Amino acid sequence: MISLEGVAKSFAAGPRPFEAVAPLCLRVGSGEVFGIIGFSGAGKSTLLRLINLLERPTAGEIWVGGQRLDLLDAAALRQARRRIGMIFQQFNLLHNHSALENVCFPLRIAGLKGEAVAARARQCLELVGLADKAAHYPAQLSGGQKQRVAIARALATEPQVLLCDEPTSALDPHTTRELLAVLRDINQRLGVTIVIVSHSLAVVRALCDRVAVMENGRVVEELDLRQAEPPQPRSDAARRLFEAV
Amino acid sequence: MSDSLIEILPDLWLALGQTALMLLVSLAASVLLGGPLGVLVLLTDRGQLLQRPWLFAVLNGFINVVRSFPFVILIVALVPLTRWLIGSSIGPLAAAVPLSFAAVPYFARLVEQSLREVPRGVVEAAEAMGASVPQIVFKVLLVEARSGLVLGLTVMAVSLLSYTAVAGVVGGGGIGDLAIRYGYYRFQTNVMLITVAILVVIVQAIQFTGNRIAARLDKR
Ligand SMILES: Nc1ncnc2c1ncn2[C@@H]1O[C@H](COP(=O)(O)OP(=O)(O)O)[C@@H](O)[C@H]1O
Ligand SMILES: [Mg+2]
Repeated sequence: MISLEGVAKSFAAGPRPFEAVAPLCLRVGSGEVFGIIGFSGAGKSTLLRLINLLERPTAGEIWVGGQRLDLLDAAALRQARRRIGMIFQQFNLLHNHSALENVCFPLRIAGLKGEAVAARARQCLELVGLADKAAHYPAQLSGGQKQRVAIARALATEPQVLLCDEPTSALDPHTTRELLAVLRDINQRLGVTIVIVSHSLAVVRALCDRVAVMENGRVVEELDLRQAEPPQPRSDAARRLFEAV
Repeated sequence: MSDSLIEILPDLWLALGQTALMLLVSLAASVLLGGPLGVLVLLTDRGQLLQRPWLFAVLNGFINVVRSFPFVILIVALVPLTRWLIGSSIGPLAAAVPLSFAAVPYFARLVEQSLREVPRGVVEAAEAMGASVPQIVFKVLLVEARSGLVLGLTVMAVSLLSYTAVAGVVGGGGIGDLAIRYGYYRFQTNVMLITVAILVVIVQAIQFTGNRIAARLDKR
């Protein structure tokens, strides 16, 4: 479903460019839940944002759903992005829009009109268990509820992929568990491929099939979490992460 | 007091009409021209959606230069333009030209500042959903910043009201001109007090209305 081939990203910073993501290859299968874990500054967000081209790669190819994204023109990229949902640590909802209007937004910008828009938006709010909060504004919702609206919004255009950048890092442990259950449910019921960035091993363990451990812009290790026995991290970074639990 | 009020009543109505005309024309110009200018100066800045350093430098420089002109100088300097546009350099419509000229960059700056308050992440979320730049401007930036924009317009309307007094002295008419004609040149202090009181009431009304609308629009 997702394939990054030799992808790298450098930022122009001072005299020498800063390599936030060193050249790497990464493949995520259809319907898989893939984690990216690492300490702050490791390059996780940058890697995630490369997948929907919020960051332009300085090298390599980005493939999503059989389409090479980094060669598309602006209009084609906008089309492609409608098949890739994204949620963020800070939710990034439109504050002057109600929950329902927030979920309508991606449908409207995709050119849909009329009754169908609100109907689909309601359906998505139901999916995340927030049908009764449709008329509420973000300021009237708790953190967990805001993130669920964000998930409903990301799913409105029926994407094949959902990118999650630290979706639970602003939430308490209980709300985190609820939200992870919503994400798991979406993965299983809708078959949406999920890529989730987190610095928390607990989150990754609860949700992911596989996880890439990042350090200094490199994927130092990929672990399979589906096996019965606990994973045996070999890299330093992975060991430190596993110990921190 | 009441005698002099009745005496100036016809003049007062005329002056109020002139002030309203100057204010409305310059407000319309600032929204129609200053609004887009403010959006453009934001979008062309470094790290923004349409990043164009040289265009940003030109627009930003233009705004700063016009805003640094003392208003009286602007009135005089623009006389040829005013004559060309209006056919005369005297009267409220003529005064609206330099007023608009001052208002456009002023409002552009206020718009730019309001739009900058919209969190970067909200814009990115829209980008990630496949929104185009016009969609982001009209459906994200302007909607999210709408209460700040109304407050900006309010501040500007109050400033423009005091500018109309200056424009009045050089032939624009209006309520500020009335205050000076009666109060300063004819020593009718009470007439001046009445007009100043009217100005105070108008300013209060503008600010009150602006605050109310902004609060209504703000769901944050
Ligand atoms: N736009 C940018 N310009 C310059 N440097 C950046 C930019 N975005 C991220 N970086 C740098 O790239 C590194 C990785 O950032 P990020 O991907 O956000 O890390 P993480 O999400 O793992 O905490 C950091 O050192 C950060 O300072
Ligand atoms: Mg991050």
